Amino acid sequence: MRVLLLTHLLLFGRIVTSFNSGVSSITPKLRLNSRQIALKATDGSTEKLKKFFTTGLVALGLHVTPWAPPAALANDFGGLPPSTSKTTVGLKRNGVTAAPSESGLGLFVDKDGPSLLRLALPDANVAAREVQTNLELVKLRLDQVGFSGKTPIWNAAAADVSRAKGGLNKHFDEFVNEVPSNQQVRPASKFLSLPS
Amino acid sequence: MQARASELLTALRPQLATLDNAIKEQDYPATAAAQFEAAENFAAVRELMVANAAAKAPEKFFPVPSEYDALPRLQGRARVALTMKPKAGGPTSTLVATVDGYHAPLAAGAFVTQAAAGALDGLPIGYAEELIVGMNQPKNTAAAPLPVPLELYYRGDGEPTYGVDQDNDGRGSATQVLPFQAFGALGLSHPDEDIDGGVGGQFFFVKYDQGLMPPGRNTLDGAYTCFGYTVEGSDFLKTAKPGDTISKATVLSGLENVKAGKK
Repeated sequence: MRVLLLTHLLLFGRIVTSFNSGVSSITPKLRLNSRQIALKATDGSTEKLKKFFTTGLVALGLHVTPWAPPAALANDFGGLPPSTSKTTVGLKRNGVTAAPSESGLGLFVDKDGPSLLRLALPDANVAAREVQTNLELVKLRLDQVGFSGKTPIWNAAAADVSRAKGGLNKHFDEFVNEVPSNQQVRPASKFLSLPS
Repeated sequence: MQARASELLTALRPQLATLDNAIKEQDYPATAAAQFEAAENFAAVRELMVANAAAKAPEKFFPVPSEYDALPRLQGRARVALTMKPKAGGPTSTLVATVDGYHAPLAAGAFVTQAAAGALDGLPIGYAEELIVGMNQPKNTAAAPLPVPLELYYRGDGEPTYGVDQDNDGRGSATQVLPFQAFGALGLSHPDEDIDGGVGGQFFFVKYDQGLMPPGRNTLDGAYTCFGYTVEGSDFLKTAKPGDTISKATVLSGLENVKAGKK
């Protein structure tokens, strides 16, 4: 096998940070910056060469990952990840009750009272609200003006259910743990003293 | 409570499978039924979450200005059944309304307080128009005698706005968390010249028709307090006439969430 590598290969890691609901994760991505690469394989071993370089790139990506912790990247954005500015939870005047602002979805006209009430529940759990949103979207899609049973709309509804299932499976324990084991009992004297 | 939440969530899995199958078969009635069941089930779990958080920090969930301390308020939700008796005779109908103290604690509190005190029993419908069915003012207002202010909860806000309507607040493009865009939405009446003069228990139903009322920004939104929705039996409103009465108002649940006003 005779290989001629005409130019050098520049590799550098690029860290892309994604934030979702306050949980950050690092996804390593590599950008291959090769100005000129010419590989000549005289014995038909091109595939082997590709495999060799791919393996090397993956190894380099794994090696690069640890040197950029999420905190350092967050500081580049001024301390808060920019995606969180798109959510209301935790950033409003009253972080606890900020969530009801998301009542209604803004995508379709929700004319159903029970649905509006469900969406207006002021919980601050983003994952729970996403599951609820996906469930509500099913009906809203089917009720939208002009719906005539077209398959793409059914497919979109099926995707909503799939997302709801995914959210439920992923956060099942979290949802359960957010409910207290014993319901807090409020002082009875504090409530309801109607005039006779 | 955790056991109940776990039970509800476990039951949700087969419900989602049923919903999935109904969608695959493109069966609209089955899809609607399964969607309602699953959505209500999951909302019940979220209600458990919210009730816990609200009980821990009620001042954050129900930030009502101190000037309204004398008014009763609803700290959570309540369901009220209204048995409606036609003036012309015939069978009674039952409306069930869910009122939301998370977003309209004073209006909902006044309504539930009046219902619990029996002030709504015998109350007649004062007018029934194309879009509105309005009740008369209760004669016995002892349970909630003070005027209830206009109470608006805008989307994106963290607390209600009191005493100023949407236009005068310069928020004409804002929308409400509880909009008047559902058939059977409940609103608190007030005199034209006094938006803060609502009397608890005098309320109206909206017979929402999207062709006649723009969703989210009709003339009721931002000018009247919407404090809940009819969740069962709203068909009665289609045939309601002046003189039909509430023969009995019953608080089905949530009475424990009513906090009496300070004296």
